[in-house]
Amino acid sequence: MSAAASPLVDGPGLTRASAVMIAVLRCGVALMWIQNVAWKVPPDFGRANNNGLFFWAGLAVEHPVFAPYSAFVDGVVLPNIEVFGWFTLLIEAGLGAFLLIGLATRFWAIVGIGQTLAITLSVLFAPNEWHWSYYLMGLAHLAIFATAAGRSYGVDGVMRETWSASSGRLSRLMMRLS
Amino acid sequence: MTGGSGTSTTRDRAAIVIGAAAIVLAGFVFGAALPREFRFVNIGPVGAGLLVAGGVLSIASGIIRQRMLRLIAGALLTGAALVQLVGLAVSIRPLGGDASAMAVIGGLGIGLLVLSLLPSPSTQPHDPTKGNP
Repeated sequence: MSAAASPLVDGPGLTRASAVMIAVLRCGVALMWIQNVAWKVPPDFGRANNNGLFFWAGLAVEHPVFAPYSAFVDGVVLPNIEVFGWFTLLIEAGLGAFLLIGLATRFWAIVGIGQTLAITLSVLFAPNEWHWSYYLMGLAHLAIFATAAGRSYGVDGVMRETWSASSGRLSRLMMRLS
Repeated sequence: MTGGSGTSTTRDRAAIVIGAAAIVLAGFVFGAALPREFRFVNIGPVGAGLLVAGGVLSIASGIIRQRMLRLIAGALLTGAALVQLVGLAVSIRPLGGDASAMAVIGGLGIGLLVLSLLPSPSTQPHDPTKGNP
């Protein structure tokens, strides 16, 4: 095994090329979330014109993938889209922001898998959707988790030395989340 | 001001990378000319200006090893993202663009704050495997 690729990489055994590719994967997935948080528009998230998040969430009811989830969307999410829209906006903005800089990356990879699952359950059977888009989204987050991608040219990689040296609760937590 | 430890140097380099990223991402202010598929961030002139200002401060902080400058850059960007968040709630876009601008500016700002606020580690050697799940 070779030494760490760079001072900005906390991964013994990673070559510089591998570390760069892992960082590209992380930043690419971050840009996906950033681009897609753009059409989550408060305050009604598309309810008035049946577009935006309201329309797409409605596809879970029109083209059910998993009946209990469809019932939940129909009975809880759509009537309260103003609340769930904000949840969605904040989760996806957080995914974009934290994956972009590589902070608490493993935590956000798990959040990304959860959000991907919610999206998949909403639109997998919708017309003109390519099902592998959603499978690949999940797999990309799995790769980010498996490679602890924030340790490659991310803030995690820079800060783990500090967190490792500290015995504080927050530092121990950050060691696990990164 | 940061000390002369190796870790401070690493944080300085990270600040330079984040600053450069901020300036590059500010280029999306011209994104309207791009096909929709490549328009990753929607940002207005105010947001782009803040990204450039924060980016320049961050790069300068890395070059001259001034932690306070990095802190100012982080606070500037994080504050701007919070203003955009409040603006979104009342249908105003202070930075132009939309929530994508908030995510980018907020992410870079939080990164700089983390690099600035946490104390430098002690001299004990770092074990990269410590804390691995």
